[in-house]
Amino acid sequence: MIIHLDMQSEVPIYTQLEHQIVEGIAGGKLKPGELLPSVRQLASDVGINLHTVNKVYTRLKQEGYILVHRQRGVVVNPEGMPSATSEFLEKQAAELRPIIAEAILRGMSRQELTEIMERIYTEIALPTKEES
Amino acid sequence: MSTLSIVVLTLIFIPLISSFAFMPYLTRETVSFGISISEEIYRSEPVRRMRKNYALVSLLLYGLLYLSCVFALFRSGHQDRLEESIWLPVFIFLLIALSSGLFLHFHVKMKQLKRTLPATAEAKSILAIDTKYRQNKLAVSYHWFWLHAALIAGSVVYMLANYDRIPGQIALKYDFQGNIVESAAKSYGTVFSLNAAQIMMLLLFLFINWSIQHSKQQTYAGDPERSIRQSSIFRHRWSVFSLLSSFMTIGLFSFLQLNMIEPMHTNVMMSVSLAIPLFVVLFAIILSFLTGQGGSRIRRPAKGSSVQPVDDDHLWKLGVFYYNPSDPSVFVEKRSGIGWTINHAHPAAWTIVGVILIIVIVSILISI
Repeated sequence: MIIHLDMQSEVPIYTQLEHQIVEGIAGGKLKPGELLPSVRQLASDVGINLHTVNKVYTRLKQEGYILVHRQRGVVVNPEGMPSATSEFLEKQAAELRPIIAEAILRGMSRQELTEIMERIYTEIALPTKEES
Repeated sequence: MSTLSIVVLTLIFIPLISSFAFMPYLTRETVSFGISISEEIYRSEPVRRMRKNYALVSLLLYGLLYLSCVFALFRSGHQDRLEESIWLPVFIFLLIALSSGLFLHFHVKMKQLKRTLPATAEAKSILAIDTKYRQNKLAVSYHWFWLHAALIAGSVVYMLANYDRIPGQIALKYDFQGNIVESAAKSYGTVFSLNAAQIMMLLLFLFINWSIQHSKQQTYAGDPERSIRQSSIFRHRWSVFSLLSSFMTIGLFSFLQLNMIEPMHTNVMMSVSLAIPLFVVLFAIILSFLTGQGGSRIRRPAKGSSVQPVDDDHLWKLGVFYYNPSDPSVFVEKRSGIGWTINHAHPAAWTIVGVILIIVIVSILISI
């Protein structure tokens, strides 16, 4: 998968990296069991500090999205992704809250907001994962 | 008689001069005189004109230099040998000085040109990384180097077996006329020092192969798939080149060692000793012209992308020296030129350069 990073964005590189990898797995561009570059290799290719990449991989490992083997390297979790636990739903609601608040503040309707969500969902999701 | 030195000079200078003069045509299409630009801008009229001017001025200057060198060698050939052997290094030094000065001049001009271009001011700086990059065949398998090891081992065994056949005095240095300048008494040291050098070379080339595989990925966001394809072919070709040229060079050393047992005709020895390095250099230059830096000359697309590559001009000092303390990469692909260079901010890079320098200096001191 090709990762795109905006080097001049306000969004920090490690956040962009994390988001890109999560999106890659969600959209099937990164398959379960697929090899990811090692911390050193990814840091070298992007041109950023090892610790930054380590931060990203550690966070993704904690969530259970990737596995980090000492010898075999970094892989997307071959057993599949964890489901939406109640912990996750709480965190997600907390993350969505400011986005929705600002949308309301700017006068967006419920429908406009839903349309955006639909569009992004369709863009990212694997066809097989689509809810009927 | 200086005919040989003039022949050597010509065989080296002509391809070298052309590779200096035409270097802007060999770089990636996202770089012009050490400044990052989009492919579209690279192919635009003002930048084309700069490349042409650079080539013409280069050829003129280096041509004059070459002719002066030939003239000086003809003259000195009738005088003392010392003068003759000085001219080649002097002119190589002048060549490097001239080309550096010329490049810097055009580098500054290009920097000014980029500032006047409207598109580059607002362009986003997008970096593209392929997570699967190193699953491509970037370098040849290390197992190929067993051939080199076998050749070295074979030479050692052969020389041990035939040690008694080696005459008491071994010639160590020849001049361009083929006369022996320096010789030494036979000893295990003088005989097997060549093998020690071979082993060092083998290690060096193993390391080169490793760094071709692992050096920083430089993928163009404007057309990532094509950029990766070109880059993979580029790296693989240079890996093959270093495999072959290291084998030939190690072979040359074995050949010279054989020469100790039964010294062959000096002409044969001189020809082989000159032919092999010459061939390697020519091979490298031809490969550079066919491949381009990063594979830029491999299957070029009809139209250049207008996407601005990631703007790291500030990390490339004078457009040539990469200095990035936050980058853990030790080796990166050159921006102006063919091949790789070091990250000058990385301590490991300095260590490697230092070690090589020490080896070179020690070798020179030993031979004095």
